[in-house]
Amino acid sequence: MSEEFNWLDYAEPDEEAPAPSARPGLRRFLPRRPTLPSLPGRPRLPSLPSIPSLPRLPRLRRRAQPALDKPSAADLLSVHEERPLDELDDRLQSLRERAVASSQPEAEARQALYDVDELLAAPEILRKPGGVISAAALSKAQRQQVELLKDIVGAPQAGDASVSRIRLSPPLFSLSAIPRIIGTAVLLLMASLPFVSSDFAEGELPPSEFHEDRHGPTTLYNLLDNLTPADYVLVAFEYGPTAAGELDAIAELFLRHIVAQRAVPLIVSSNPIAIAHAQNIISRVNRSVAFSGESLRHGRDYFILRYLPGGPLGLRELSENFADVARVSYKGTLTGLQFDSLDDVTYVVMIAERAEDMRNWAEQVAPQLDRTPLLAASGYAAAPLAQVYADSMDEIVGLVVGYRDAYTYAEMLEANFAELLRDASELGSGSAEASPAKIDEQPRNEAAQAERPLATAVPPASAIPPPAVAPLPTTTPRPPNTETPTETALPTATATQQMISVVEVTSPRQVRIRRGPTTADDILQLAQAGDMFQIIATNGDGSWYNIALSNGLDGWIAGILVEEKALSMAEFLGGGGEASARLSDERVYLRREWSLSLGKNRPRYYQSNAPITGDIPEYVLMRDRSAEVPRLRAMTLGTLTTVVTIALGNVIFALSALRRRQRNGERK
Amino acid sequence: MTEQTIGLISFVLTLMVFSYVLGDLPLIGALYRTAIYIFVGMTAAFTLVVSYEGLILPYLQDIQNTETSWTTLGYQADIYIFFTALLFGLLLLLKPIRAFTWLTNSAFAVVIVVGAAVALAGALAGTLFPLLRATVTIPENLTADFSALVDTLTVFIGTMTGLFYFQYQARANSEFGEEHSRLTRAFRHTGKVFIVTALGAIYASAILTSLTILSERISFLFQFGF
Repeated sequence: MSEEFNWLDYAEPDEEAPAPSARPGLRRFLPRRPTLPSLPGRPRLPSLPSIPSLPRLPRLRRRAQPALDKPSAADLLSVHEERPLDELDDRLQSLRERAVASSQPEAEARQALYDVDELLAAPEILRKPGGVISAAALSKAQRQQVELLKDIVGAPQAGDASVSRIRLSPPLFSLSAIPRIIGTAVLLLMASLPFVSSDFAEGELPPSEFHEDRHGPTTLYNLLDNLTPADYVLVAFEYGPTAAGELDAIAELFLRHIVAQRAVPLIVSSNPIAIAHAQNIISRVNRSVAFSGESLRHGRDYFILRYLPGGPLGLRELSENFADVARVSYKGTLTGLQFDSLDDVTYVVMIAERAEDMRNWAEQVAPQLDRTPLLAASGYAAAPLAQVYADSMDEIVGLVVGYRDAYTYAEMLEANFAELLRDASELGSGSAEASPAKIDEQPRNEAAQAERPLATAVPPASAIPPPAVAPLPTTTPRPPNTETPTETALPTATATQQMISVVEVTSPRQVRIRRGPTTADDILQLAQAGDMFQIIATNGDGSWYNIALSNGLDGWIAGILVEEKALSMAEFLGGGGEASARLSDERVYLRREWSLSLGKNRPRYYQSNAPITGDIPEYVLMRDRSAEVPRLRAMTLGTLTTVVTIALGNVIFALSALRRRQRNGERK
Repeated sequence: MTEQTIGLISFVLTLMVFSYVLGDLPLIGALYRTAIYIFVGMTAAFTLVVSYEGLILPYLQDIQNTETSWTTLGYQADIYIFFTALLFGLLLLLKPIRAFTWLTNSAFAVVIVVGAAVALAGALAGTLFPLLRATVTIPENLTADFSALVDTLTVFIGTMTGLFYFQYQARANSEFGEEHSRLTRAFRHTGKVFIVTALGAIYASAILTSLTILSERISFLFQFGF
């Protein structure tokens, strides 16, 4: 037993094993692979040598066979592991001494106990017919120990028969569930009371406009508000039914806002359930649009693109191979959409439920975007991470967070909506006749409305002349915003030879047009290289230009990003001027019709200087907001209840701990 | 199916899910479990249908018709892609056969390695570099705006000390195992405070999310029931 074992001099007793020389170098020190036991009836391969004389045991057990009749793991260790202590280095010797010292008390305690193995054995599980566990049976020794423990702790004794069985199936009603039921009932009660009575209206409602410190949401709103017809917006639904209560509101508002500007949302998702959910949102929008005579149609007013499998891989494919993704709808049919890259869409809007979704989009899609900003919205749970991305990445605009920001967004939309209706009703326009009654149903804060600035981008309805559709087929069916048919089909009614001062964007990157002459002001619009704008004024030092925008408003652009020119109006209109900037007091409406060509839907554009029936944005913007305020109140009360419950639980826990300590002290 | 019918089904399923409040008990828990089984089953079935219609069907249609190739790669490339995907799919189906498990593992290895490479490149370009840039960026109006100064300092200290918390290298010490300097320990503790605060904020956000969904469901129950 104490004989030293020398690996180098060791010779294999088994004649079938290869000699040590067959395993040259360091390989001879490695353990050999044990021979697998052969399966009965399985034919052996002829090239492999058989071992008839020895049982097919692992090599270590075979080595121990001559020395021991019944080899066990402990025996093997004693044969092969023991090595003179003086050969061990100091560190191993000290470790051994400490291990031996620490194991002695345990061994003594083990000897003091009797029938330990019996007591530690798992009880036998009794099964009902069919494999269902019904009870556990205790052995005699285990029962005795149970009785002994009960004697020690003073528990009441039970009959012998009942002690031997422990009930495993749950009871019909458990007393331990009572605290949970009470807590949940209180939470449910507090969260539902605001729906019953306004007396439980606690907390303040979100503001009617985004706070001044938060430029992100305001910029996001302005960008969507400046969409024009023939703009395409990629809307990513990255949430499912689990976050529907929180994110449906903002998703619906985004879609309504996009459609109201007669732009086309392209819905995409890496979550198949979100695709089904997007259809529900579209149906909800359609329910409010339908009474105007025309509802949104897939393939014309919106598209739901194919599912993106594979998480990050799917998003990578979207960003690098958008042309293919856009060609197939979620039904597997061809959409007829032709894009070159993701930069051909005007904006990418992403609504994320989880922080992981936000991270995937920021990692896989945002870095690939050269000109197109990514507008982000998220739930509260994803907001801490999403806010970091929104703050640190230039490509990401936002962030609109959860239900509270959705309320503010709806208030801002409604402000524009009310302004449109007011002007339209003053004109006696037919579009407003059916609307005032609907507006009165909306909860409205009149004081806030009065203080709110007028609509920033939706044009005043007074500028809308009577409908007069003038079809002008375009030469190109492609949708990208850089080649929108508006540019080729605009009238030149105001063209003169008068010289005007313009600025042309020279920066190769996307340029931001802001509300004021500082980078801290909100972004109103984006411009590309080559876009031209008429100059209205400059700031004091000439570093910023005040320019006329397409929607009749004005914005500011930094002087270092543009070049000032003097052009005649005819040159300005004939050159690469920004499309609608030429029509400062007139808005051009485009209507898109679809024709089938070689099995593909191809859009054709018709120009009009008036909205066409069914295109009135206020019908699209209307939504049922009756439950918004009670829900916000419920969130406030529910949050308070949760905090109070957690605090109370901690107080009770602390008090009970103090009491326990006090009792223990008294006993001592 | 009318909206009333859809609403009724939603109403009943919502109540079945809410029955979990009473605990996972034999009779009552069956209601909850039934609702969950329905949702899980429907989800799996819908995913299958969407995957087939949105991904497999277009490829099948495409390889039958050279005129309507919908990928930018062209007809021939579509065929190669389809058969490559088909081959990988077949390899995955061989998993139960032990002799061919290595083939399945090879297919898995390719998919996982490609996925990891994509995720790694994206993480570098989309997360690490932008966050580093944001951490070292000093706002223009830093001295004028006190809140900007505090904000920048908080981000900087939080990032640095948070990274220190995940520094596992230490001087070896025979008695205590590892030894950090006092300065390192101070940084680690500060980082721990920032991390715990951030996790607490995330958890609070999650509670607010849950309450939003809860109030939405209660609103639905009230609207449908009354």
